[in-house]
Amino acid sequence: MGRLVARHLGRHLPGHPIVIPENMPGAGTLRAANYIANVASKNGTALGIVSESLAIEQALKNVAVQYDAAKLVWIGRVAASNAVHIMWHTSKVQTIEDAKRYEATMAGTGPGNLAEIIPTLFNAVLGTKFKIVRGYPAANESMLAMERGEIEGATVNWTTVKTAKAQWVRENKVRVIVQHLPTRGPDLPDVPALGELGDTTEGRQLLSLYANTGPIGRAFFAPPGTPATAVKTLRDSFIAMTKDPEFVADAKKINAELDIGSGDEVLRAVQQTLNVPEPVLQRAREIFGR
Amino acid sequence: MTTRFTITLATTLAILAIAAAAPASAQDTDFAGKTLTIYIGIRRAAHTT
Repeated sequence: MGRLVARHLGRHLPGHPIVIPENMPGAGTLRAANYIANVASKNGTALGIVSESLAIEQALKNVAVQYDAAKLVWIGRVAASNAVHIMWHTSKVQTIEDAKRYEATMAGTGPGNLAEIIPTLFNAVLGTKFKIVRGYPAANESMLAMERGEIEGATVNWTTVKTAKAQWVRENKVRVIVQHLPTRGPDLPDVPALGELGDTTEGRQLLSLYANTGPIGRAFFAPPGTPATAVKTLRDSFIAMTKDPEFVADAKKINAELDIGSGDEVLRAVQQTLNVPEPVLQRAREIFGR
Repeated sequence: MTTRFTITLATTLAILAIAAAAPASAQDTDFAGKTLTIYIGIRRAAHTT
């Protein structure tokens, strides 16, 4: 998404600047957030895009965090994060209720990834019996393993399923049992959303904490202290870019499902994450051994 | 020769004065000649956010 925006944003900014994408690995994308918050130029010429879990990492007091997500200047979002929990059709687990009765194996792609975080959270909050099988590099390998019968389920991006595995959807090879959003998305009106699960207030708050990664999604931000006039220009130009047919066509080419959000909308999701009561955050730290 | 030099100097000074007097907000909103960098946080080499 960073490269997609880099290809188009310059056309919509006054003076048509050159826009360069620069990869910044480290600390599960948090190094880039730290750099933008503390080092990058504050004159409107630096933007960033990092993991949608940056606010959660701050809330959970990850020692690598050197930013305040609520003080980052949110410019806008090009896509929501629409991860879903899918199960292969031969698994005994075809609903979240089934998962409370039967064990089911899930592909794990690393302790910091939603593919491991969400099933772990379900086990702790809902009493499900998911077993994480670690070692899968990413969603593609997880889906392949599911098809081969190595594992029964995976957490993957819904857009990826719809586009790369359209046949699975058509032939009911997989069932989506939860969508990781605060409320049900228009594509999956019959599938429960993360934000509506949980039998206790604490359970609901814990799940909602992670549901808010959806609206943060693929969002862009500038450093704190960027002048207000530059912020307005960046925000206006960003929205103009998202309406440009060339941008929309380019997004389609890379199978990116656009779900545009304003900077204020992203900030609200960030604030909701950071405003979760401390006991709930403490419980999350316990669940994830932090 | 002197007249031409005086006009050139006066024009240059006028341009500089206008540029110096331009409000900070105008500089913030004009990206001409600037380079904007988008820093992309990545988890590993093969995956971009």
